Amino acid sequence: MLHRSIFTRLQSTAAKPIPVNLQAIYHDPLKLPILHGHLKADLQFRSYEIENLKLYTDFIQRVAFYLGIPMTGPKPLPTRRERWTVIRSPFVHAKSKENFERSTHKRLLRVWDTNDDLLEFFIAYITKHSVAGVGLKCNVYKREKVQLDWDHEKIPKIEDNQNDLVNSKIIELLNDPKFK
Amino acid sequence: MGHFRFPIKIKLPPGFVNARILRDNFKRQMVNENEVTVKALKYIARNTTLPSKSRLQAQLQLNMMPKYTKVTQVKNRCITTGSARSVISDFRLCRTQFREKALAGQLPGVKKGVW
Amino acid sequence: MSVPKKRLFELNRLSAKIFDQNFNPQGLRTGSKILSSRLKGPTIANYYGNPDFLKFKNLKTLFPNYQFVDTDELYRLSKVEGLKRRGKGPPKKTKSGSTLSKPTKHK
Repeated sequence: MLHRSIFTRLQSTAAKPIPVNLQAIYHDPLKLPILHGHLKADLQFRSYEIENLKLYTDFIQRVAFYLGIPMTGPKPLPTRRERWTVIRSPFVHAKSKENFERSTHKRLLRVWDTNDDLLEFFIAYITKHSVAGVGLKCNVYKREKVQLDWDHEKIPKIEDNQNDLVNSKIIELLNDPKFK
Repeated sequence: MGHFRFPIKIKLPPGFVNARILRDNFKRQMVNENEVTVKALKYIARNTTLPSKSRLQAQLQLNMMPKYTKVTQVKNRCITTGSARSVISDFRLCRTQFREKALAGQLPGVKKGVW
Repeated sequence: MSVPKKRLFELNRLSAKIFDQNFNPQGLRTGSKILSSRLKGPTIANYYGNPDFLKFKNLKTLFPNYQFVDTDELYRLSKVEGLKRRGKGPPKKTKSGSTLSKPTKHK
């Protein structure tokens, strides 16, 4: 009984026309036009294999389209090619060598005109559905008003833990009676 | 090396351990521990605007520090065999280990180069 | 159109102050090269990996209720057993210490 019902349903779906959003899978990802031209983020992808890289960027473009995020790319960045030549044998026979190489493929996607919250959600979503063997680097840009009164206390201080350690050590040493 | 000892107890590195790896690891830990002091002393010694007495004192103290606190004492070694020659620093492996692992497909992305 | 040198100097001084850069027109040795370089210690120290990385022998103490099988160790033990059966095992220790001492080096 159950079998038959599934079978009939399958038959009926075959007869139905494919919905537009499913049809879109067979085409290039759709893009939204850039309205304001505010660059919000740069997404850089890196991978040793090109297949997964293509799949991931394609998926992200579709995600962006359905979330209403204008996006440009994927722009292929220069592939980094590393090469090593090693001696084949473990001992002597240095004339016979073997070459190895590793190429890192890179793609760049740019996000435009987006709300900060939406961008955060978008990045969280794509990192959750990340593909094996593809690295993602997000450069997020934020805009702030320029203040004309340069008050040193108002400027947010960049925390530099490493340098602070050295600085405090230098002051400590210079205050030492041995150094005077 | 002479009278090289391990005056301070440190943890063993994971993986392959060898007398030379042990020694190098000890130096690495000591360099890390003393880096801030070395940097501060170096700054004082190299800064020509500071009084010469403190600069001299800094130079003296730098020289007094044990050899194992110097960065130049550290040598990159193969992490699977401990060999110090022909180490490929990207993988921290010596050439034979690198070749074997690359041919076995254990290094992601590394292929036989043809060009 | 030429800009007086003094003004350019003043401009450089001010921009250095605003952007928190070093301003050293005389080229004095102030050791800023040393200060600006980052600390390399952590990367140097982590070359051989994390020393707290779990080893097989730690598993038994961590999970006393479970039994773990170390295949490498079993293989080694079986090999030792086989050698012993063929009479190729380690020599028995003599009671009077090392009667058969190593050949002394001649100088």
